[in-house]
Amino acid sequence: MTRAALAAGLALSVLATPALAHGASSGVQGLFAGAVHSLTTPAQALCLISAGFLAAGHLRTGKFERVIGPFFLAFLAGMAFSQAGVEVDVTLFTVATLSAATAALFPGRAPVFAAVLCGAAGLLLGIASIPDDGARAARIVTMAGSVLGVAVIMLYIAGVTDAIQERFPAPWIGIGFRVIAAWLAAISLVMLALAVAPPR
Amino acid sequence: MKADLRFGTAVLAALVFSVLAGPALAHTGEGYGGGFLAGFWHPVLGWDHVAAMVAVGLWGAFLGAPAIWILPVVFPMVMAFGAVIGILGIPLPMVEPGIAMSAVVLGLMILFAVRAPIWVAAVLVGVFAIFHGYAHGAELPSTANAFAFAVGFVVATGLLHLCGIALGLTVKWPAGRVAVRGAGAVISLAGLAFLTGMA
Repeated sequence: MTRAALAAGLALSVLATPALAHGASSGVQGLFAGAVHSLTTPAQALCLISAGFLAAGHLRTGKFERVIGPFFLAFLAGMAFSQAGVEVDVTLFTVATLSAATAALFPGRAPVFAAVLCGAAGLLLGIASIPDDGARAARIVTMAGSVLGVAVIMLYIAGVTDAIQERFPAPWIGIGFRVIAAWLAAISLVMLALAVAPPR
Repeated sequence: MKADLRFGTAVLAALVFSVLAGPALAHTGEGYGGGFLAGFWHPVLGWDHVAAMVAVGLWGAFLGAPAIWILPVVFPMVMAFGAVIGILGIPLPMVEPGIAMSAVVLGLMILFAVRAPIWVAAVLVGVFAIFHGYAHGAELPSTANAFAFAVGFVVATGLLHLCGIALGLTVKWPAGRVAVRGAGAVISLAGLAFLTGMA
């Protein structure tokens, strides 16, 4: 009896089809595609993460809003006033290098310079997030996904780094973040060189 | 008895097959995974790089704050500058001797417990970082994913610094101090061997 039940269970599990409980809502794939778009190319991912580290350094100085504000305003402006297909990888790597280097060398300092860098990062990411031609509604949904994705990633980086430093106040935790920022700067600089170097 | 014989034959056959088996080669070494591994192993498998990277961490720990964190922050950024020179194909003389000299000089600094001012330490380490970065940039394999390769060699370099710092933190104990200075002597001798072509 037990064997028969086991065999029947196995047979049913083999024959089972996916649940498909949720039919794909119209446009939801575009939303998800937009949400992860900023992590799909090294240039955008490095720029976003570097800007996140730079902004995170200002959470403890009380100037976070002044640094993060220009980022989001510029991001929206970039999406609103540019067009699809503009090549910004080299500039993204440049801004990523500067942002990460500033985060590594001067964390929580030079808020005006940090705001300028974050604004530049936001503008470039906005330009890079414009979807190619397609139906107007689908493009709007994808762009909404991009805004959501960038906001979540940016705020998560800042929030998580701050939470970790608050939970573990040992000095080496902060030093660890500076070392990671230095690594980001180094990787961005190498990628910048590869982007401008003649083909091998 | 018969069952034992069968079992023994089966084990023997399995061993023969396992010895004869070729690698699966499921991974071609290309793409992100291959690029990361190629970049990661580049500093780790070059003993001259390992000696110098560990020496940076050791010396930083020996000097204490702020050198303990300034050197690992400065090194990767200047190293990347060296990699840029290598990638752009700008000739840099004496790369291999420069890498070997980094082990010699940094090893001596540790051996003699030289407490240099932080800016001197940063400049010295930065100059040597250019040679190391140049080697990574110039030897970037064309088949590897460049982004993953860059991530790999930067992370590996940082982890080697961390190894040096971890060992260097033992300087607070007398025996640890002797061990760290001894490690400096070994690194310096290894650098000399690289410089003279003995290793």
